[in-house]
Amino acid sequence: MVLAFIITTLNGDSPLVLYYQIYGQVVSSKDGSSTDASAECVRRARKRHVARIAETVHSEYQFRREVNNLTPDEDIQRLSNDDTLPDFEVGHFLTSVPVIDESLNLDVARNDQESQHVTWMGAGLTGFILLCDACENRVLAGQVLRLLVRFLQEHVRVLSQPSEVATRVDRVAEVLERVLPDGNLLFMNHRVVRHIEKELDTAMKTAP
Amino acid sequence: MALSAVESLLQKARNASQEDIDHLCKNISDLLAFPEKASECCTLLRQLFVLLQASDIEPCLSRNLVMEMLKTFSRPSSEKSGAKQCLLCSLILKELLPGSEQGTKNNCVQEILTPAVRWLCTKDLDSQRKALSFLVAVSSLHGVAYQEFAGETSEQLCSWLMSASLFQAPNPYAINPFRKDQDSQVTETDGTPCRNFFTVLNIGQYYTDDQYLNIYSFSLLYKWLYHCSRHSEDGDQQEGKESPKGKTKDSVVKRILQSLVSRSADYCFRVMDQCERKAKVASDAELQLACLTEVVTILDLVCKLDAGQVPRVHQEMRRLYNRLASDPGYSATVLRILQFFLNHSSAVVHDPQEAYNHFFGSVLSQQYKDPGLAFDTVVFMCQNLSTLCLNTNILSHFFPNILKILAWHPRTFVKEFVDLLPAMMSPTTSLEIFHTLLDLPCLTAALEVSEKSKKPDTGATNGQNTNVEPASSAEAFHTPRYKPLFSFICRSEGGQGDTINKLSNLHKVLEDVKTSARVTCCSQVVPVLLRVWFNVVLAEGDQKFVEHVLPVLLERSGLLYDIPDCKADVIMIMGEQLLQVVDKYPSIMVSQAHEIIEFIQITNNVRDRQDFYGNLVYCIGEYCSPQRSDSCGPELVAKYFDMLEIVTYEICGNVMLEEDEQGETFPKILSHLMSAMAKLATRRQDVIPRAILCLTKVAKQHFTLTQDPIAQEALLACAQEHVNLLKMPNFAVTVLNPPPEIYTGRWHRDAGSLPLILRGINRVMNSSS
Repeated sequence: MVLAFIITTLNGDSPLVLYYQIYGQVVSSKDGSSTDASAECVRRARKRHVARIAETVHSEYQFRREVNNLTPDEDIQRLSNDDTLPDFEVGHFLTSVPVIDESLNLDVARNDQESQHVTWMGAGLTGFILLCDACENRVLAGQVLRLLVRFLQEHVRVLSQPSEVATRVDRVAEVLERVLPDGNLLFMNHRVVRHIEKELDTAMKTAP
Repeated sequence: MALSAVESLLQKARNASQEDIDHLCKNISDLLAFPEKASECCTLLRQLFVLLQASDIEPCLSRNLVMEMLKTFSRPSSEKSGAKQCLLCSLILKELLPGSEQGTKNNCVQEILTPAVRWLCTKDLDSQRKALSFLVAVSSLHGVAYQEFAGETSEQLCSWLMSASLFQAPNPYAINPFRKDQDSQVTETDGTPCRNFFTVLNIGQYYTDDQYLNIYSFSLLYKWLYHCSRHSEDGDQQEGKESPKGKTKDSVVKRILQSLVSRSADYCFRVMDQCERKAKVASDAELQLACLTEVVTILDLVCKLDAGQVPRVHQEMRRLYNRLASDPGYSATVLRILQFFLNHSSAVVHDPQEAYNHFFGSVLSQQYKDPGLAFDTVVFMCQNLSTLCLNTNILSHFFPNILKILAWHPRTFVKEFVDLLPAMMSPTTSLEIFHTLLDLPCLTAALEVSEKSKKPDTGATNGQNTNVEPASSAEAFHTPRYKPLFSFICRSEGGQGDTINKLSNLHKVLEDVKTSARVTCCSQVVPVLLRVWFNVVLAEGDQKFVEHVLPVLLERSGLLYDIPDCKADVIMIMGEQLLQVVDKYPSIMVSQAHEIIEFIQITNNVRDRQDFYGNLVYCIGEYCSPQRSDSCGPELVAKYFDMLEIVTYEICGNVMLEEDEQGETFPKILSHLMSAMAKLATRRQDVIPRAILCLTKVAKQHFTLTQDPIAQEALLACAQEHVNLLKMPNFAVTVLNPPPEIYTGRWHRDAGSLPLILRGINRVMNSSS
């Protein structure tokens, strides 16, 4: 399943995580079942893991743009010109699962046995990340992520105005709930997508 | 401008204090109870959520507020106005309570499972899909720990998969809901009416609940099967493979999944058939791609769970492979099929070697640039590392192609390649891999050039004139003279010879690409992998192999693609590793004496690689000794000594003549040379006078050899100490040529050992004076 969805900025020296939603067990505790890590500990480790993934995506993206001789301004320009989506950089990489060590209050160790897959997309100033567990379908993850971005741009203008994310978290959550229900990647044919589209339109209209 | 807004907003949230949170919370609880103030309340709730996600401090929310939010959250959803509030509350609660995902409170899970399974059978779509995704999540943490629930869930999945209705739902937006649609049966993706059971690839204007559940079930099917079976394996391992408990557990899984497994296979075959239809809508064609990948993955697992399915599935897989193999759009699926072949071909006596060759040969050499396929390939290799090494020669045969993935994505897969590299190395390929690693940035550059030349606007096609030097790498790429060089560096298979003669020409012609970001990044990876390579060689290489390595080291230390930082690092690593290699196999100083002498004699070799050169001189002094290697005779010692002597005189002469910029490097090399000479002289005492003469000369000249006063002093000290030692040959032998026992530590413990006696005498002398 999808363990987390993250929206982050991609410019500047370091990324800013604009939004994240966690669906599954992103971090694991040191000795599996003997004790539960405290909520505080899990929360902190989760945040750190999210930040670390955002950093990796940020550097991958910067590298891609440098290699392809593209600047984010061109993407933004393209967005303001017409409403077509820009060309995205798309990437995938593996990341290891951080392990919380309660005694040290830190996620020191990394579990190398299991790994998580990261699928990301970026254009302009914004990047979108799906953190999936190892048995997830990579092709489907890419397709769903693209769909998510399309809807998020439609309803939150996330590519042109990333700050909207912070003021409209509920809209982001609404999109996620429909396209990625409980973190499940669904095989959606064009009619299912159309149905979600309509549902979202209706949901966005309701006040407040 | 868009970003400064975000930054200030998040900055504010990040710096929020507990008071800010308290203030916000108070306002929220004031508003939460009043539906008419929902809009204001939502604004505050949004702020709270952003603050929670961004802040570094550990937030503290009042118990009351949490309770109130819980209440809002669990309010019946019929109250439309509260939907947003409810959503925001749930977001905040999720952020605040990460939950005992570890799920040790088994009783708690058990308690929820009963209603969850009940919800599966309700008639409410929302509850049904929530329940299903919850049950799958539980299985991912506990496997089939809760057998009775797993059994029921599997049955439910079966029925959802196989018996969804074939008729479309009425249009929910229609004004007259009683009007019957004419064409109400679902269709295939190409528009023909559906003649078999419903799947995710059937198109209807609107879907009924059971059709949605069908889509859900297929989407979660692999995870369910995988987690249920995986956890039983884990259990077996923990409890010992032979324990009867493990076996019963295995049979439990079989029983629970049995009917689902064969149903899944049927469903997958149907989807496979449906994927052969030409989709009318582009996005459905994409979905077919994702479906095929999923179907192959599920069938692979199906065969693992039920070996009886293998013959049937295998036949279909081969058919599918034959259909897709030559279509570049389906490479991800083809790789999945390879995984299936790898797992199950032995059961039906099928040799998939040709399929492997096709993928790792031609497919990969065309599609290494695709980030998705590169990722899939790396994951495939990492997951099957031991099987691939044991049963195939893919890694050692196609390593040039596989390394293209790294050359093109040098940032993404370094860690994985650190694991993969040792698997590619075999006695026959290791040297070639060494060359390939050194030329990895060169490969990146060549790939970039070939990529650019594919674009039409470069127009560098006038390469027919073979006499004119090409002005750029792009032009050279089209020049017949350089064609073989490019095709060698971009080859897809190993075993065509370690390297080529005109490598330096290739380096020269690729000069203009060396500053590209990708090449620079790739050059940073080289040292990491080089260390891995040496570690493997030191751990597993034998003497015969190492004898081949040394000349290559000598040659390649001077033949590197000119990226200054990378070059310096590579030479440094070579120097370091040289010491370790020679330490492990001292006899290569004898067998490779000819090459070494040739290298050292050319004093120009000091340039740019003084540490490497210096370490080699050190090795001569230290390891060219009968103690280290039986075959080291006095003639060889003499030969080495002659050479070192000449080199020392030559360097002294050159420095005096040139007054050159290398002033800093020579003192160090001279010290190495002097020590080495002194050591050799202790092994062949007839050359001692010559050694003393040479060293005295250096001592006399010390102030002309360098401008640096500290270096002058060091040179003088080094020369004089060695001269003084050599004047007492018996002492010199012990000091410069100690027997191996020095390393066992006995020298420092035995009461009769020389150092102890010397130290004792020293103390007595000092105290008496």
